[in-house]
Amino acid sequence: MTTDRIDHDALTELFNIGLHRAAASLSELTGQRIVVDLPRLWICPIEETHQRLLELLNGDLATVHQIFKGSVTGDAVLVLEYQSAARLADLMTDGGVAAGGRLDQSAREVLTEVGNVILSSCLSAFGDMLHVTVTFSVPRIHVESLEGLLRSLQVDNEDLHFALLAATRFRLTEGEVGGYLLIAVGMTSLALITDALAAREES
Amino acid sequence: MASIMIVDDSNYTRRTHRRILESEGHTVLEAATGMAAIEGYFVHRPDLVLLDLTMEDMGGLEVLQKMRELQADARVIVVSADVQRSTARLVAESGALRFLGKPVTAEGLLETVRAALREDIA
Amino acid sequence: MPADESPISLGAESLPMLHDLGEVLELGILTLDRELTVRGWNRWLAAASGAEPSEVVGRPLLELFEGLRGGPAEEALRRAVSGSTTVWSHRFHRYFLPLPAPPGHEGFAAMQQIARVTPLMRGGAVDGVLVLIQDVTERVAREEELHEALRRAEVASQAKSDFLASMSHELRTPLSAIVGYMDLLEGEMVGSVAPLQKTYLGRVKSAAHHLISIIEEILTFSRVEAGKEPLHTEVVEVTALARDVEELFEPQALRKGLTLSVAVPDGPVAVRTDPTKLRQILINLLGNAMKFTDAGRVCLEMEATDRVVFRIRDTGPGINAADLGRIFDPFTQLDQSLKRTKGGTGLGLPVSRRLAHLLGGDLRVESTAGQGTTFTLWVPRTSGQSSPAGDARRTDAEPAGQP
Repeated sequence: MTTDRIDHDALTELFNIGLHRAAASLSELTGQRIVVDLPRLWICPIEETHQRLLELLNGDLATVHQIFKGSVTGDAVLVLEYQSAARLADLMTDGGVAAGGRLDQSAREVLTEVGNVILSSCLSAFGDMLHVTVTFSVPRIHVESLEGLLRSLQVDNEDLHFALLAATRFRLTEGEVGGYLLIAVGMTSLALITDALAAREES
Repeated sequence: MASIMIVDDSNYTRRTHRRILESEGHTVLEAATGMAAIEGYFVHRPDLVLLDLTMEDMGGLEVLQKMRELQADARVIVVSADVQRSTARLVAESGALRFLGKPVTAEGLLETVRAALREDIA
Repeated sequence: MPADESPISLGAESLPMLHDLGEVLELGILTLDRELTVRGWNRWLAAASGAEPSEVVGRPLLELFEGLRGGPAEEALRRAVSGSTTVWSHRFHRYFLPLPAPPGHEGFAAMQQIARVTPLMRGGAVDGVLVLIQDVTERVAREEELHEALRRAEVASQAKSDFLASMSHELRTPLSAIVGYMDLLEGEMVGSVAPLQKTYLGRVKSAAHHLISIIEEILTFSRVEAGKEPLHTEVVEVTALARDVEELFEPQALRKGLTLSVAVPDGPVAVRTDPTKLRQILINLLGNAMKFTDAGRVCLEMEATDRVVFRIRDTGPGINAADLGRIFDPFTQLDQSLKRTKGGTGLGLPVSRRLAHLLGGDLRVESTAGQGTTFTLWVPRTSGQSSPAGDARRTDAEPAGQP
């Protein structure tokens, strides 16, 4: 299947809702007001993701990774440049956890939790809107290069894999951070998502 | 029954909400940007507006403000993915009649529209 | 790095093994069924809470810990029951289960924890919830101390900067006034001045200039010591710089009957460095050579390879071996009698050396008593950090003398 059939607009809306839910949860968590920008969305075969991400990101990356299973399976990753990750951890804890721009133990834990909230909210939004059920794994944080990230994505017995890449910004009172959400799914899962979206419209 | 203007930059959302509203017999107008919404409101004076908060050219709250300047008793329902508590408060303070979180259910949307149309604006 | 195959699939028989593992790893292991009734409570939890397993197993968790009801912990447990995993940081939640702070950390209201809430699966369906609890109170305490220390250091550093800045200003203002009025008087702007008066005015002005240079030296020294002397690098043509410095001393050489020479490579030599500081060092070294040499010659030689080397040689009295070791120590001048006749603060060489380090290079000396002295200064082709002013804290390469 090609990616032409996919309703770009509908998927953007899906991510939008997921990210806003994440923002609401994070807002409860931190007591701060958090606004998210409308995500820009790219869909491409997984082999092209490397090139795409190289254009968008620099240096070391901090990622929070969760695997999801259920009617749709795949990987969900929150991707941030190292400095952005440190900044996000700082903003979320109102200064001080990533002092000096370093992701030490506590900062990583904060990011894991924040990443968990963001990824879970998005995946739940997917689940709710598409009437599919997903469970997700333990979130893991990694600080690594781009190759490391891509290699860690699950390989199952599907031949074709696609990546949904969404760029968004999180705005808090003291500052803002930009990051990416990467959802990697096999051909079957993508078809399922697309069908569910179309079905939803007709309901 | 009533003329309702949907303001949202997502094509998908406008289509989905249009389908729900038309099934109840309402007439639907669409606007994809804040500016188009204000112009549309001025020209067509719809009975009710469904307004999204995050749009590229203007924030939803700004659009709401302008509409109420045009017509003090404008009926506006804010429909947004932004479900933070502080947002709901801001929306209420800006004079919207109701707030609906996305994604909406057909019944939820229709019921809220009915209630807003019935409401007496002082 | 493959991620977990989670949620965890475990049969009831595995729970004791899990509990034992918890003992070894020093983790609290709490297992609940789908209704959130306690099924497992390991020794770690018993020790931390003072409640034996017999007291808690079989009872609903939310009855045992009423405070968890309606809060984020309950929400995480309910999500686990529907199949999701949550990992908690202590920064947002402080703790999952309210347990007393460990001994030695009574300052904390409760034990600081990191928790992981995972569904337990059996046969593809959620069978219960597993909560792993780690005590991070010690670490939190360390981190808070570190942050406090950092904060205090920042405050002290800022106070120092403020002091130096205001001192600079306070000292310069009256000196400018002195020199200014001297100029007016000397220039006969307020009335004519007799020749002898002019001579005396000249001497006062000279003393004022001397005072200014001493104060500059002290201030530079203080700033360098406090790590507050920022580097302003640019590309500099150093043969021209060397020639300029030499020219400054030609009148003095003439007066003392000394031979002053400069030897530089033929072509231009470009270096990325702070020209003001480089000039300051060379002037100090050449000035010293001129001051202490009463007969013979002083020369400035420059050589450029992978680094740039300046050598200042003189035919002065030299320095004996015992004193060579102390020459770069602040406030020391080797021969007290020399100090009285030659003047100076004894800061010139220590400051020059610090500045040389700031530029990424070094300053050395070789001498034999009675046979003259050679100072060797080298700087790399690209000095220190290329960013201007900015972070003044990290510019002094030499750790000694830092707060």
